[in-house]
Amino acid sequence: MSKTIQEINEKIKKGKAVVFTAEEAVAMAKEQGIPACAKKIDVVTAATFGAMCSSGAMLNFGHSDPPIRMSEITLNGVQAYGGLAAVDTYIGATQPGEEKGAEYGGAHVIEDLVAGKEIELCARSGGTDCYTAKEIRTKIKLSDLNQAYMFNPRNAYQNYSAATNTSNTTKKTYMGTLLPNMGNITYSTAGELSPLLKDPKLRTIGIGTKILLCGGEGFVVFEGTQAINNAAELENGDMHYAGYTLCVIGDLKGMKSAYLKAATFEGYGSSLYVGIGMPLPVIDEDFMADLAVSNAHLYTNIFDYSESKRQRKALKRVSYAELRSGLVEINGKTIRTAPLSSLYKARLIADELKEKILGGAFVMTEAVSKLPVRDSLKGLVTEGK
Amino acid sequence: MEETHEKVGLEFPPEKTDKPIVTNLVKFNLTFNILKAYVSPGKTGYIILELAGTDANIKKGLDYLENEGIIVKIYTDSVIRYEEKCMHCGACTSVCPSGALTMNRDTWELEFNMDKCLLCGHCVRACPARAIKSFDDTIF
Repeated sequence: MSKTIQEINEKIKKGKAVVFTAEEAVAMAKEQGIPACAKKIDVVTAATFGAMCSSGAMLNFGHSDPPIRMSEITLNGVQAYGGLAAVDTYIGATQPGEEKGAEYGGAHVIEDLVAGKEIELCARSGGTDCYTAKEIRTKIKLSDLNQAYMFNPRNAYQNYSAATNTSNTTKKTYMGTLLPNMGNITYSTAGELSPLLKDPKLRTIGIGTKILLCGGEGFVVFEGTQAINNAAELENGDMHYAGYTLCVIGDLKGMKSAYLKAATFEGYGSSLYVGIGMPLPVIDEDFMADLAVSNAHLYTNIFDYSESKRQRKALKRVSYAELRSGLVEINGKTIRTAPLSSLYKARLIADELKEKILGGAFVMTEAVSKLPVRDSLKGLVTEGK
Repeated sequence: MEETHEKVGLEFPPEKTDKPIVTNLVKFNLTFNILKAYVSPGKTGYIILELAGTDANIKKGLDYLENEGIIVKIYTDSVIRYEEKCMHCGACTSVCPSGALTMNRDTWELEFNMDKCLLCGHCVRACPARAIKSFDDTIF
């Protein structure tokens, strides 16, 4: 049994495609088995809603009169990159505000843009013969911009380490506030609903794959930074996946405020919660088997985030079912777990994408090129101590 | 008689902070648990109490405090959550020591149980969306 994306798209256009969310597909596979699911289901929708620091937006303001070659740019007091063409910029999610720091950073500017709010733009320049203005100050909103698109170098982490803290002081991290003496464990995943955990061999997700990015149309444009997919096979035959990532793009003007959220991680900085939905075509039984893997068979490692080393030692391997249960035991100590990504929102996204496909409003794209396999990550060698 | 619990914020004028007042609540058959206190002689003092007793006795106790010149505020919500800002991520549940903030394990929505809240305020800073306001902010 195998189906092509074109065949599935024809069914979508005729309103005859059978679409399940990944969680629904997991449940159905338990009841009816993989072959029956592969036959019945055409598309599985996967989704995630989590903090993705490597996110930001490309903006083009249009030219002022007289024109300026912007070299120092702030948006609501948050610095944006001034090293592109005259009125192009990139604002990154983790850029702290000059006044409010992490309480209002780049992510908050992007959130306010999508919400249609007015943003104060200040720009300076040394002035050139062709761009004579040296300073401008004005208000802009999303609809005023020529282009405004999210361009996120690293999103949709396939798998991410869970965090705890063995030291005797509280640690404020991008994995939230970690209480002393392993007082809590935090984790960030949509688990069995998560796009890259459902297509671990990158059989359908590729360059050009159309996705839902923050509620609007988006695309996978490249492998994400620090992508790695050297999965390990465990003794029980399950796979422990690594951390493949995706670089994605999408028009800010089509996004919905409900599917992105600026965040402040105390003592760490600002970040952007990004919502991503991905359609996964059920191309054959093997792929259906990947789609049907449940939280009980998806794993991550718990690391001690008080250890400031590149290569931390894993304290324990746990399944996402164990993490979701709320309690995990390490060395005889029962520790509370808490999620950092929103499964509630991820489910809304998976449902919305499902409805769009059922309604014929979203058809799938063939990847124009395969994503590369990465089996190792390079570190950075620094000079001295 | 059924016992109820009430969380109250008390503001002591500077001239009252050196007198024993809260201790007199026991005379109204009330037990109290001091959740937070900022008191130093000669300055306005603040105490947050959880009172337990019958409704009638709680009323008598609070009347007594007001007669002593204490400003009393009763809190029906110990933290204020901005529903529209909350994204149900669960970060606050990781620092909540009493289990007042928990995730519903079916819907994965955040749930808040006021009775369990100790007013520690850890959730306020742990919330990435800044969707929680401590009720400290409303009095102090």
